[in-house]
Amino acid sequence: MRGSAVLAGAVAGALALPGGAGAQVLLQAQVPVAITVVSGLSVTWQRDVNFGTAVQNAGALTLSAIDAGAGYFWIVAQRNRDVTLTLTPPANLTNGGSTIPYTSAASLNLLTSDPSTATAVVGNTATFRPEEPTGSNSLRRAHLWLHGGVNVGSVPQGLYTGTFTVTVAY
Amino acid sequence: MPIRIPTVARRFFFVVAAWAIVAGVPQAAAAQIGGPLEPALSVERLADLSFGTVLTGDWVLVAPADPTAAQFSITAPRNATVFISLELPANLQGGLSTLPVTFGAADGEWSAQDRPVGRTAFDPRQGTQIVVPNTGRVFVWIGGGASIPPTQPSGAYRGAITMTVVVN
Repeated sequence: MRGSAVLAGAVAGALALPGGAGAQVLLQAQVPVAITVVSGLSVTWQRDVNFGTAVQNAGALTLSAIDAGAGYFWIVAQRNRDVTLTLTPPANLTNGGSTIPYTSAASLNLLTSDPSTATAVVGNTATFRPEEPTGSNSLRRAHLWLHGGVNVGSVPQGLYTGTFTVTVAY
Repeated sequence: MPIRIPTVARRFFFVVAAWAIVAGVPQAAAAQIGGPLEPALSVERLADLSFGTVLTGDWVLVAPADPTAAQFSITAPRNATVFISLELPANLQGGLSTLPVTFGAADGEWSAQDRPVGRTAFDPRQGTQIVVPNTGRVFVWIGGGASIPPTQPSGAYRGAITMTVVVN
């Protein structure tokens, strides 16, 4: 970035140098110094959990990590740093006053985006180090899938939704 | 034997001479009477010192030759002696948080040319003394470093380097 000088002190602007022996002229200029600090930790939504369309009294419907309806997140963190994952699933999907019970499940893959080799997250919490290389030498990525099951009983027709919160921290 | 001219006579002589220059000497010739003009004296900020975006727990060094080093320009008469001193920040400020920055013995460079080769290193903490070269310009670059603690809050941190130039 280029900019004009900030001149301060007793003399400002461009000057002619005094001709007398021993004369002193003092000038000052200032430049900004800047840095942006980032933690390098992020969780990024890629895809919602979607059970699709079911008929009334369909009973148990299950999604696994490899299904297209599984939710999908990226977790990026600094290399060699432990990340704590906390999942907060909804107990039910709701449509007005009607509900469909939801049983959550989640799977992690620290190395690749292949859900078939992901491991289950037990108890809605996990501590791990992402290992998949990214474009940055300092950052690594892990992959998280959200899935589980619903039990569709005699409920009114409509769209049933819930919110699944994914939290990461060092 | 020296000849003493009375004061009144000398004043008369100079008045006549001045009148002759204004009235009779062509403009080009009159310009030569003063000789070559001395360059103006100035200090200019050319570039900021930017450490960029750095992860917590990481460190960053900006060498004086790096494109994101600070750069100043000094314009002064050739052969003038300039004394350069720098007020360097110990910390950068980001909201209520501070971030330490460091400056090493080789984090300052100067040159008569604005180019990456042929520079002279100096310790910006100590300053330096330079005899202005024939170009009448001196370029100064300042680098530095920062080590980011793992617990450092995210955000933008800023400070300033002040360069003081004394010309003799």
